[in-house]
Amino acid sequence: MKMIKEKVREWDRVIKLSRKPTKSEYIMVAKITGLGIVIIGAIGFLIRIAIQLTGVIL
Amino acid sequence: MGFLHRFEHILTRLPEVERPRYALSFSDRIKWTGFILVIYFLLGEVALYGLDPRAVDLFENLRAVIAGKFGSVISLGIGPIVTASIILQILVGGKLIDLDLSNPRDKLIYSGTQKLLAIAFTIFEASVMVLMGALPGLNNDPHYQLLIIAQLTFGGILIIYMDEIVSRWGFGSGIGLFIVAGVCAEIAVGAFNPLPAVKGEAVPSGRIMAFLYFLFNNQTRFDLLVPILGTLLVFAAVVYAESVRVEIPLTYGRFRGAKGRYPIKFIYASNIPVIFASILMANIQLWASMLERVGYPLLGEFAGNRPVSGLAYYIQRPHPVYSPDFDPIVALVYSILLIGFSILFSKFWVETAGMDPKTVAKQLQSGGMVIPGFRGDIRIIEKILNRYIPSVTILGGAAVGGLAAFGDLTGALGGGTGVLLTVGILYHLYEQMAREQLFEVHPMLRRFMGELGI
Repeated sequence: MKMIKEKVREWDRVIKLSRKPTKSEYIMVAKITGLGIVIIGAIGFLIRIAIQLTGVIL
Repeated sequence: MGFLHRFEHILTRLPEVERPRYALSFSDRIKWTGFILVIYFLLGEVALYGLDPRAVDLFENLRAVIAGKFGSVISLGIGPIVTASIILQILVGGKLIDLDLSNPRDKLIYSGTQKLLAIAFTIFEASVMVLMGALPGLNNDPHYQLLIIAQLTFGGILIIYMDEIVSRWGFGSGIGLFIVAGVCAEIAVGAFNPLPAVKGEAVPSGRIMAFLYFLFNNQTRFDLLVPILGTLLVFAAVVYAESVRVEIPLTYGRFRGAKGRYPIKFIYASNIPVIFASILMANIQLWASMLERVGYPLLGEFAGNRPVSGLAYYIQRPHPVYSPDFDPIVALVYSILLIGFSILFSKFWVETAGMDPKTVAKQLQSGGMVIPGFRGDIRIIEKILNRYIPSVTILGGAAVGGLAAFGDLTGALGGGTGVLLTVGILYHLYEQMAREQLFEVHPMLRRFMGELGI
């Protein structure tokens, strides 16, 4: 039991020590990955809807 | 002189994508990546000719990881490529095949073997899927079965070479691009598809569109929006978790002044553990269904491709929270197993990928990474690292597993694991593009960076 308590204390210390992203950093990463998802998602969306509409291949 | 060296002349003469002879500009790389992306989506729409409608996607909850599109010529996705490289890494890493990757001749043999193995796995996996009934030919007519295997093999080989094009002429790797493409399309179509799932139905299959449709008929169906919310929440959490760093204070006992900071990612083993965990759980499902098919339902019985009892029932991807047949016990057991396996594979990956304290200490000591003001003795660096790396390995693995489970429970579009991988891959892709863009502006910098081998 003691070992677990010690482990948890260790994890807690690491979490406290870790550097959390600043607001601007967080927004930047969110914007970049969000933009990537939107662009690639849009391309995939257009292709799939175009084909589903024509119903040619499916 | 290993076993493979005898086949050197074959292995190094396999057809391969030409390497660019001049430095590619940023926009060239964008064009190539976009070009392959469109072709990948189009391939996903080419249905397999002669496929029986009874086809069942056994790897349904693995789809985010193996990409491809079920029922199309790329139904196998990147499964064969990934399987080939994992096996080769184990064989070379475990010294079962003696290839020294630092010498260029062996490197050529390694990539030749990898390609051949990937092609072999494509044919093997295609045959297994067809003959085992996952992708059956029309009323099991052998002609159709052979035709389907041929189409799958053709699609698989295309994927192998498209991956090579992206890796040499585009950004990042083809495998990363295909995973991201599949998940992004899933999110976009799953949310905004105005067309009904089945011809003739009125309700659009895109969840936001369906919600609006019901709103117009003054019915408020908020349950439709839960997956949208789930997707956004997992996205927000993963962006946060990916940016957390643990800065290890390498203060040196006797010299108070010598203070160095070595930042490591909180998600230390990145997404690899959750990929291995979901592959393991999917395989257990596969063996369970095969056992039942052979008549010994040891791991559980199935109704169609959904398990109804036994271990398989508890290890399947749970129905999302809002769905009528949501089973809290399954959700709990599934989450605990996914998190547990993620932690296990996180430890496994840190050991085998050379991220353990000893290896990292050696790297720091040998000058690859210069910590300002700190030239500590290797044993001391290792001791300090040992206080942090084991915790971050476990915490990172648990965080990744937890996020994936949360995504699956809320029915996040593209799946929890899918969103997780997509954010991770896109972020590393951005870092690579930023470095390229940086060189574009300062060619002089490129020469300087070139020498450091960054």
